[in-house]
Amino acid sequence: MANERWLGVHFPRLKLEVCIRRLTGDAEVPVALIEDGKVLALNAAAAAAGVLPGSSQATAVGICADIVCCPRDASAEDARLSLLAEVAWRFTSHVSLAEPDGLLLEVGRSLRLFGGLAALCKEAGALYRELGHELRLATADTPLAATVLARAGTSSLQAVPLACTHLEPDAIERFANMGVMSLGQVLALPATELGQRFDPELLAYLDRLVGRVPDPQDLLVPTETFASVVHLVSSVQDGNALLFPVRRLAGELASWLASRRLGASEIVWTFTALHGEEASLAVRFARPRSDAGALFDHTRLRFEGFRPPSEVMSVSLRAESLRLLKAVTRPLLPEVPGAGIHGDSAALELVDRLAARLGEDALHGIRVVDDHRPERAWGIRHVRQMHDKGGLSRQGTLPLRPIWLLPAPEPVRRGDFTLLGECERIETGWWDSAVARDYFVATARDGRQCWLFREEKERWFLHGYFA
Amino acid sequence: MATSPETFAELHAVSNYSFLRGASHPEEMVQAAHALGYRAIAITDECSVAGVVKAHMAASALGIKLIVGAEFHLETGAHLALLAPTRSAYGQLSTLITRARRRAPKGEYQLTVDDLAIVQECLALWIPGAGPFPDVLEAGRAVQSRCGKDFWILLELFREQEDLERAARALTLSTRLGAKVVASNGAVMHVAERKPLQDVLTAVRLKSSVHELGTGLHQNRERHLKPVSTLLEIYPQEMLFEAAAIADRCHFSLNELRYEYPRELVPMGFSPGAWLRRLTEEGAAKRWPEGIPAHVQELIEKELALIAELRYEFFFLTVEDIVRFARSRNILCQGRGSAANSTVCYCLGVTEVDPARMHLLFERFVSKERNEPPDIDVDFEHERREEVIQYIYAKYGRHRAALAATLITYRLRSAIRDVGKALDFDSSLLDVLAKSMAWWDDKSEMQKRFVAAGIDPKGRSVRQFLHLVREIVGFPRHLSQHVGGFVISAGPLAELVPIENAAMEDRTVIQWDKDDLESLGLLKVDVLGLGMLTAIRKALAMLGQPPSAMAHIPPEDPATYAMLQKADSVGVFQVESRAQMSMLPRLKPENYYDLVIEVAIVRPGPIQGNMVHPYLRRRRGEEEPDYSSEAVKRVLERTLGIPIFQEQVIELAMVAAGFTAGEADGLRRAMAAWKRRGGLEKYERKLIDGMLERGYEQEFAERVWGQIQGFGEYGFPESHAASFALLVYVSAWLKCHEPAVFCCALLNSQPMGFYTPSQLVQDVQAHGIEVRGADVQASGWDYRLESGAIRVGLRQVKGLREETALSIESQQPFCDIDDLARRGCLEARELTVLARAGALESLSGHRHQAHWDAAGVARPTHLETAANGKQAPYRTEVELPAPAVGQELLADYRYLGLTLGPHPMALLRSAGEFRGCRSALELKDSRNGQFIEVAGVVTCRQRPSGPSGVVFMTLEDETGNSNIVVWNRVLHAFRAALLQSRLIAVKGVVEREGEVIHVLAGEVRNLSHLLAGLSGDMVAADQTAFRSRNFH
Repeated sequence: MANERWLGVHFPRLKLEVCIRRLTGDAEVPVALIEDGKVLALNAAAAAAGVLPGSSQATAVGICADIVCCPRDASAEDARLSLLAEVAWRFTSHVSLAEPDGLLLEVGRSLRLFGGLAALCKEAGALYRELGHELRLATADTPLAATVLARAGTSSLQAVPLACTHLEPDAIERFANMGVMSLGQVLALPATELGQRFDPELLAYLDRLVGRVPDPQDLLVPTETFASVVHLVSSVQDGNALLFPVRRLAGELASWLASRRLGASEIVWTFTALHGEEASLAVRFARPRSDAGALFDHTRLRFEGFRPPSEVMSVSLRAESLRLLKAVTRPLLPEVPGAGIHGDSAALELVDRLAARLGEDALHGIRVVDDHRPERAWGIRHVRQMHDKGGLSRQGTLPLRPIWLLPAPEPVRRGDFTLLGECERIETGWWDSAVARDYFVATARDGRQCWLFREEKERWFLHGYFA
Repeated sequence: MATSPETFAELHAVSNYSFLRGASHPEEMVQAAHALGYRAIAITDECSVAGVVKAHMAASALGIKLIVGAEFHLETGAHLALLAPTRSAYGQLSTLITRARRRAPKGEYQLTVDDLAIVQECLALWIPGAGPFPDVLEAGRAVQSRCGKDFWILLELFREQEDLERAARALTLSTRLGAKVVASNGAVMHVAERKPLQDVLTAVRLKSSVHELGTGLHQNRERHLKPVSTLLEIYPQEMLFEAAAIADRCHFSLNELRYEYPRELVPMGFSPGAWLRRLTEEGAAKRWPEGIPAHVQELIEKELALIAELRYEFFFLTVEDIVRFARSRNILCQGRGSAANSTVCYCLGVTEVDPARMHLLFERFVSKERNEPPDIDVDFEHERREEVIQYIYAKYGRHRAALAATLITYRLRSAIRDVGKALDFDSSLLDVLAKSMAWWDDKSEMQKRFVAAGIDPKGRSVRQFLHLVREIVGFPRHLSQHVGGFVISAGPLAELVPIENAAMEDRTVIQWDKDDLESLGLLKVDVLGLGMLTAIRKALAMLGQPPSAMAHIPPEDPATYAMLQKADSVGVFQVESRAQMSMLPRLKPENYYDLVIEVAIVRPGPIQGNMVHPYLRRRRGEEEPDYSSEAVKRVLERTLGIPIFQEQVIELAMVAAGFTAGEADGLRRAMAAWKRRGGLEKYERKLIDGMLERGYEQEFAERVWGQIQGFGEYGFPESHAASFALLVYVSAWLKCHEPAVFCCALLNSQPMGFYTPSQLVQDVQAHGIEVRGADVQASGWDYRLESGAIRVGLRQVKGLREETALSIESQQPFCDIDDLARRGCLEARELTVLARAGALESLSGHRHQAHWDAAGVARPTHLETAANGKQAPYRTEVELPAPAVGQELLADYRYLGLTLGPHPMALLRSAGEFRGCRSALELKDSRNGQFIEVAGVVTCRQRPSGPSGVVFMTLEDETGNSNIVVWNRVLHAFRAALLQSRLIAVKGVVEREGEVIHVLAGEVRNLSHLLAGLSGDMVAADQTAFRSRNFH
């Protein structure tokens, strides 16, 4: 299209900026971005300390002992770039990614709206700097030209170093061997001889670069979230009456999710009253759900402790944290707890129901910890963590241990107990808190079976009861 | 009943030779068993006897019985220990281990229950498993039926919950199998306090950390050697008595092992002595064609008598056989070591050092008083040593010849890494700690490192870390192959010592290292590779001479010595290093024996003993030698009263400190093993007191002691120096009289030596010899001579294969690049490789055009090659601009490793940054104490170990090299510049002693960016082209 105008946005320090965002920012702290044990990028403080890109992490630390070394996180960079792209929608709806660290905006139609190119660039620059990113902008008639100009920070295509182009490193090295360092030099070479010497892709690339052939771009599509509102005909006072619109919205969401093969791990209900008062109810699931029954049932359970405002006029449902469901087919019939292969699934179901009823904070799991020291051999974790490690821990056979372990061992007199059997010696944990104990099963005067241990100097402690 | 400790013997203990499991040295196990009063102790490492020799030596010293055994996990899961009661049972055990090890990759083994049929004479102790009872019973029956009647059930209780079950099961099995139960500590450590280390070893083995392992670690510290009184609380006493009874049945001692040499070396009808005499006489007749001088004849008789008395004939015959093979293949070789410097070895052709001429006495090196096995190492051309090794395997077979093991032990660096990982220390912190170990001895530096990492340096975890690291250092990690120490036997070697697979394919190693072999008096022949022999042989070949011509190099040539005295020694064997170069003008060698001293004096021994300066003073006549006694004079006279050689120090311990021959021998062994195992301390007091008693000064005694420690770091005896000195002389003679040939030969033998090809080429150019570039029209694979000039060989082109170069060589010359590609059968990649190195210049002009042309050549098809069809000549309409001089230079360094164009400093010197900088040549005219600034490319950075923190650097410019010394203070101030720069300028003070010049750095500027400016390609210039050789 003749009137296409492409704006290339290049974030030269994106990797480092993404990594610094994760640190609680003090610009004075020297930071090095590390990949494969080598320094990939540096902030000004680190550069001032004399660290060079490309040196090993050990050397960097050797030179500057206070340096903070962050490992590179490519997925965080991708996520950040997507976010920066979404921000660009305010300038144009034609936004594409120029990976790994740039964007492409078709601004031909927007120029008038923003008062010309210079004004638009100024606004875009201010916006991204505000978000914490350095950037370089360039405009050109083709997308590729805009990108390479932005990368090179020049306005002349002739002057663009080959390193700033999309050529493969191998081709760039071969050109360098021939003393050909810039696009201008490449474009001056006869195409037929170039074609004999380089991949056919090269000529096609040059054609797209200078606009001899069109170069359509993949536009960025907004990510979808579900949001739907039901406006009630008349205000509702009774909480139970609200369940009708809730059921309907849940059904809507379920079919929307199903068509996209998505599952929601959290849904948020908002109830708006006549006079504007709002109350929200978030419902979380142990695993992403898409079936109307589950969506509704869990909401209903949470409803019992929930107070919606009086005179609700509208109910809205949003589902934002969506996950692609795995291709596992779920049985259509409801699961019988503990039955067959879906035992774990049933347990999670139970967890969901309990959490819905009691509130998440009330629910904890017990896990078996792999440690010889009895007081460390079990631990509590929050219900939300249970989903992280593939279900409730059931691995590991437990040694003979009392069911009721005292919160802390209590000093006792040896004479009050009758020892049964041999001692079991536990002497380990030197790396954090050492124990050295001889454990015995013993009978107390009241006949209860208990667990005693002896420490050095014949000090005796009660540690638990058997049943 | 009262029970004495003598009623128990430990029959199942593993040492740290059960790698990453046992937490005590075998010696510690033995010492602990002795201290506890046990009747005996068996070391039963897992499928290994690698630790038993150390245990044997310790047991002999203490007078406790050592039982040799090993434990095994069979494929079925069964677990048992086997003990060797007799020599023949030991042979069976060793064969079993060999069989199990040879089947599996290095470090592993495989054993089935049926294999146990070959250990009929061993005693079997079976440890029942924890599975279902019928299965366990079945497993027990299977082992029992193979092993025969000497079968016991081994019971080990650890105060764990399973103990009750274990004990009950053992008793039931005892009735069902009709076998007795015997008790054991099941020890993996000698004392309970080793438990943290044992946990760390477990974590390393399982690639985890102690925090994560949890119940993967043992729950308590019970697996150690316990007092018998404690054992009586745990086991019924009959089970302890039974252990003692079993121990009483074991009579085998490693002292019974005798080594038998291969018989085939001696023809029928000859005794070994007669055959050795015959070969010696034949050789003598060749060495002295005009008749053997009377004194030589006398020496030969004396030596043969000594050899016969010590029964070393076979050892000499084995070496002679290997050397004869090498000579038949024109492989240059040279023997060294105590026995090598004998007239007999000279006659046998093992060495070219004529001992009569060199005033070396065989007796000085081999004597019957000293309990020291003869030592002959034979160096072969490094490129052809493999042929010799294959000859040995072919001649004796793999069942009779194997390499000695080298024990790989924990060093500080590996200890820091592994212990740190086991304690969950951050890996980047460990990198830093491991790489800069100067902190280890410096408490404040150490604290800084930990504080920087956010760790409390006084906290428990750091204390534990430091303690564990110190404890683990010296622990064996695995067996590797010795560089070339062969053990060859008459019968199957596996009956003497187990053989296992090495990492290298087709290599096998025995389970003992050279110390073990020496302890048992078993001999090995060292077959080593030496680059200089390759270079000498190639130089001789270029001069049209056979390898044997080395013997005819004119001796004691004054021009050669004059050259060495000027430190003009780049490329010369041994004396080319920086330290040697600064010694040459001071020592001014003028004869062969001076070279022997020169080779030996720049070593940790004499340096740490502060012997260098006194020797030089006496040599210059500034100080008179003095000898306290005739005996001392005899030992030290040849080195002007200063001990230089390892042998002298040992002898001095005898004549000046009153050591007995046995003690001196112990000192020598301790010296060799000190770095790895310690044990030298006990001699310190004895030596110093002994010398004080005999009227020596404290200061001198302490210096001698320092020297002994230095030898421990890198022992260097006169007997080796003597052989090396000959190669110094031969290589120096070649450099002096045939510099072009010598340089070619060195370049064709790379990698070897101290200098890079670039430095060798610069040196030969400085001697006025023209060097011509690599060129597809003129170069072969090797460097060669073109009417007095050196033509760079295509071997210098990075990435070019030898076959390609030979193919080019056979088709030269070519009319254009197409012709080269077609007739030379080159692929696009190979053309690029040649273009990068500038070797296409004569066809294409400069590099840019060469790359363009190379890319444009159509790949030859087989059809065309077959038909030899002429294509149209290569044409292009593109003419690319030539690269700048600086770019050519960078490409030269990067793809050829050297440049024949201007040095980077020649291009850069006019830049403002170098105003006032002197060249290396101008530095030669500087005064001591003068302030000066020099600049150059960093070619070498050396940081000697130790807390001093000094760094030595070599800077190269267009006129030569300058030597820089950087002290700690300056290092700290200019750390970044010093550690990272490729091109620097150094301001400092000249330190001059005669011809030896250093600059003590005071201020440093990193000018590496100027190198980058030569091409505009920062990365290339920085990372690839100018890589300094860094030594830590």
